[in-house]
Amino acid sequence: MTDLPIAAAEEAATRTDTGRRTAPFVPMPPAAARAATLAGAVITVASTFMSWTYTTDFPGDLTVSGYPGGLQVLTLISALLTGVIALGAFQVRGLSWLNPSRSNNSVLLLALATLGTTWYTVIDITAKLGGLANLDPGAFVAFVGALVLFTGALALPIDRHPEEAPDAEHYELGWAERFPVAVRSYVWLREARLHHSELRVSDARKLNPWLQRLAIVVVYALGLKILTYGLATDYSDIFIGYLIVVAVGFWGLGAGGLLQQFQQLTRRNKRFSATVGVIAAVAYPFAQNNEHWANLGVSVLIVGTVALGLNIVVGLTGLLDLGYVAFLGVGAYTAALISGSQFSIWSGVQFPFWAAALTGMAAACVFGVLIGAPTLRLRGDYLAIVTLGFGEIFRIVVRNLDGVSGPKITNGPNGIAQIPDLSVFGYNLGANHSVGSFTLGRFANYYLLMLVITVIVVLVFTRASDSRIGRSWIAIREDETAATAMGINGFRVKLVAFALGASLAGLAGTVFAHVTNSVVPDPYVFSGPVPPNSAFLLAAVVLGGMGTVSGPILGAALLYVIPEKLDFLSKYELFAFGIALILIMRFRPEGIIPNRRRQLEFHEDEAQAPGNRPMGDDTVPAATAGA
Amino acid sequence: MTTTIPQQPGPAAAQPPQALLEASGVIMRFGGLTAVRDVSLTVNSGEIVGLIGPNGAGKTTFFNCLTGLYVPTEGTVRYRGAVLPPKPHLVTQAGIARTFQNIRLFANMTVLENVLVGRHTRTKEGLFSAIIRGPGFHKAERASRERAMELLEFTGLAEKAEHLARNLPYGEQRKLEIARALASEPGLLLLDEPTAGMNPQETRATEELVFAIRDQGIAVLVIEHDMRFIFNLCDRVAVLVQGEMLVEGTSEVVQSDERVIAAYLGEPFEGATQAEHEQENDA
Repeated sequence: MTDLPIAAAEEAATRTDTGRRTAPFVPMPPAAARAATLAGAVITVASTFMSWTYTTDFPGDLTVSGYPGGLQVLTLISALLTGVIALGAFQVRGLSWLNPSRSNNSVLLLALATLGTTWYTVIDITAKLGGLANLDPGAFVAFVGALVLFTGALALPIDRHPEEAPDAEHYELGWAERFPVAVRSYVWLREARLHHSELRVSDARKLNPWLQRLAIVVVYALGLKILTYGLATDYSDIFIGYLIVVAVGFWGLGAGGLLQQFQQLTRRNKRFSATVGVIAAVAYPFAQNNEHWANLGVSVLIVGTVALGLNIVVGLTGLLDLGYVAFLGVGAYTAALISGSQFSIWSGVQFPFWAAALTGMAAACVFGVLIGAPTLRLRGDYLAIVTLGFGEIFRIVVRNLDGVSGPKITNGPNGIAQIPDLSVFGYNLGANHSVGSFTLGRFANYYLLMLVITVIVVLVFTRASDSRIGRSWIAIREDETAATAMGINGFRVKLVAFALGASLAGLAGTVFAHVTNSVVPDPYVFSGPVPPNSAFLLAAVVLGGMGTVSGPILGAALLYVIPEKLDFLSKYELFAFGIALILIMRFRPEGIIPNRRRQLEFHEDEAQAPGNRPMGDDTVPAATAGA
Repeated sequence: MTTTIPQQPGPAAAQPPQALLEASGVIMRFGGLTAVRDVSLTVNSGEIVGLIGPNGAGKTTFFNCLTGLYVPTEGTVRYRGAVLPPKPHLVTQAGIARTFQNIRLFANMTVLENVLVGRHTRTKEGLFSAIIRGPGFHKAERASRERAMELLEFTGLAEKAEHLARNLPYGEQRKLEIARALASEPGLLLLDEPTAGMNPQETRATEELVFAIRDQGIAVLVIEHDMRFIFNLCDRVAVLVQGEMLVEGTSEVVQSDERVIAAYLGEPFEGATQAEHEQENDA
C-alpha cells in the first residue's frame, strides 16, 4: 500500500520496507531507549502515589500519600497510557492493537503529554506557593520520571517526514540569514517534522460484530467520562493540565492509528454508533446533578446547531457569510414575540412550542431569501462584505424598533424580557422533574429539548449533503462556472442553501430565546466577547472542520467551554481566540475533524502517488496490518 | 430530447440529416474588441463537425456563445429550431453539453460524484425529497447511479469511480469531463480541445470515443489543434481566423484551401482576400 519515493537514505535515518524514514532524536542503543521509556513511565506512575507538596494551599489535595489526587490523576493516567502504548509499539503480544501502526510517534507524543502535565504541575506548585521548598520528594520523583520517560521516547526511532530537509543554503530566509543559530534551528525543525500520514490500520471486519459494538459503546462511555471530568474541574490549574493531556494525548493516539481504527469501526457500524452517540448525549445531564453544566450543555448545543447550519452555507456551498448570527436573532425575536411575554407587542399571543418553532424557522427562512436574493449574485469577498453589512443592519434595525426611532415592535435595546418557559406536551421545561433517582432541572430539560433539535439538524445536514442538491452545492463550491455548465442553476441552488441555513439557525433561535428568558439586540453582532456572534460561529466551523457534521459541534464546544473554564483568560479572550485561529490555519487548515476531501486538498504534498489511493468518504484507506 | 443509453446505438445516424444547431450571424464584442464576427455554423444531427483556427481565433469565445456563458452581441443561436436561452444551465437543460479547454472538474469530488452532478438536469429530487427520503428518492438516486456507472464503463473509468477526480491522470480527467457532459443526456456535445496534451495513443483512444458517442446519435462539435485528429474525425470542418469564418466544408476542401494553409503557416499569400486586408487594417 505504501510506496513512498525512496530517496537516498541518510546515515542517521533508516527506512523500513514500507518506505518510512525513521530516526531517533537522541542517540541511544535501542534497548536502552525502550528500557528508559518503560522505566520512566513506571517511576512517573509511582510518583503519583506519593505526596508532592505538604500544604493544602495548592488547589487539589496533593499532600496525600497512597492515592493520587487532583493533577496527579492526570499524570497517572497519561503515564499509564504512554506505558501501554509503548508496549504496543514494542509489539508486546496482546497490546499491539492499541498502537495499530506500531509507530513510536504515538509514544513520543503521549510522553510529551505526560511531561507537559507533570512539569506544569511541579512548576505551578513552585510558582504559586513560592519556591522549591514547597515540593515534597514525590514531586522531584515525578519531575525526573517524566524526564526519563520523555528522553527514552526521544531515543526511539521516530517516523520523520519522508523528504529530508535540504541544507541551510537551500532556504531563502532573508534577514534571518544573518543569524546562523536561527538558520540552523530552522533546518533542524524542518528535519524534525514528524510524519504519520501513512497509517496502517487493521481491518475491522476481522473482529466479531458484537465486539465491534462493544468497543463503540466503551469508547463513547469513555468519551462521556473524559468530557464530564473536564467540566467537573473546578479551578483553572487542573483544567490546563487536563487540556494538555487531552489535546496532546489525542494527537498521540491519532499518530498511532487508534483513532483511525475507531473511525473505521464507527463507519462500519454507522447506525449503531449514531444511536450510541445520541444515548451518550442523553446520558449527559444524568451524569451530573449540576445546573451549571446543563446550562453549558444547552449553550454548546445551541451554538453547535447554529454552526452546523452555517456549515451548509460555508462548508458545503462555499459562500462566506459573515452576518449569519442575524438569522439566529430572527428566530429568537420571532419566538419572543409569540411567547406570551408581557413585553411583547402581542402579549396575549402564546403559540405552542411546535408552532413557535415552525414560525421561527419560517421567519428566518423569509429573511434568508430576502437577504440572499440580492447578495447571492455576488461572489467571494464581495458576498462576505455584503453579508457582514446585512448582519449589522439586522441588529441596528432591531435596536431602532423601539417606538421612538421607529415603530414599537422589539422594545429597542431593552429587548423582550420575561419570556415564559416552554411547555412541550404538558411537560413544563421550567420546573424540576424527577426521573428515577435523578432530578432534571430547568437547563437539563432545555438540554434534552435542544438535543432533539440538534439530532433533527444533523439529519437534515447529512441527508441534504448526500443528495442531488448537496452534490450541486459542493459542485458550486468547487467550480461555479463548470457547475452551471452542467445545468445547475447556481443562483437558485445557492439561495436554497442560504435559506436552509437560515431556517436551521432560526429553529435554534426559538429555543435560545426561551433558555435565556429574554432577547436583546446586543449578542447579534459580527464579533464580540459573548458567544453567539458571527465570528464565533464561523470560527467554530473552521476550527472543527468545514463540511463535516461533528466538526462544527466540536468546534463550538471547544470555543465555548475553554474560555468558560479558564477564568484568567477573560480579559484576553479575543486575543487567545485569534492566536488559536492563526495556529489552526497554519498547522491544520482542514480543521480538527477533517473532511477527507479537504484534508487531501490542503496536504497535497503529502499525498503520495496520486491515483493509487481510493478516496471516498466511505472507503477505508489501508487495511493490511493484521496481528 | 434524446435519452439514448450507450448500449443502444441511436437511429439518428440513419435518419435524413436535420439541422440541430444553427448559429447565424453571431457577433461577440468585448468593448472595442470584436472576438467573433458574423459567424454562421450549422451542425446536423449525427454529424461530427470540427472547428479549427490559430490561437486567439475566437474558437472558445464562439463556444461560450453557443453554451450561454456569453450572450452574443448580435446574431442568434438556435437549437432544434428554438432560440437558445442566454443562461448556461438552461442551455444544458435544452440538450447541449460541453467540456472545457482547461479541465474544470470538481476536483475534490469523486469520479462518480462528478458524473452524478452531470445528471442534475435529468433528475428532479429537491431538498425536501432529500430530507424525507421517500421511496421515490431512493429509486431516482439508484437510477442516477446506475446511469452514471454505465457512462463510466463507457469511458473506461468504472474502476476509478471512488477516486477523487483530482487524483486521476491527465488523460482520464479529460475522459471524465466527457462522461460528465454525457450524463446530461445531450443531443449535441461540444468538446473544447479534447486531446490537448495527449500522446498519440491517447489521442487515438479519444478519437474512438468520439466516434462511439456519434454512434449513439449525439452530434459533436469539436475544437482542436491536432489536424490529423480533426481530419480523421470530422464530417465537416470550419476554419475560424481572427474571429471570422474563413471556410467551411469537408476535410478535403479545407485541407486544400490555400487561405487555411496561409493562416496556419503564416506564408505570404498573393491572392489574399478582401477580408484579410480589412483585418490587417483593423489591427
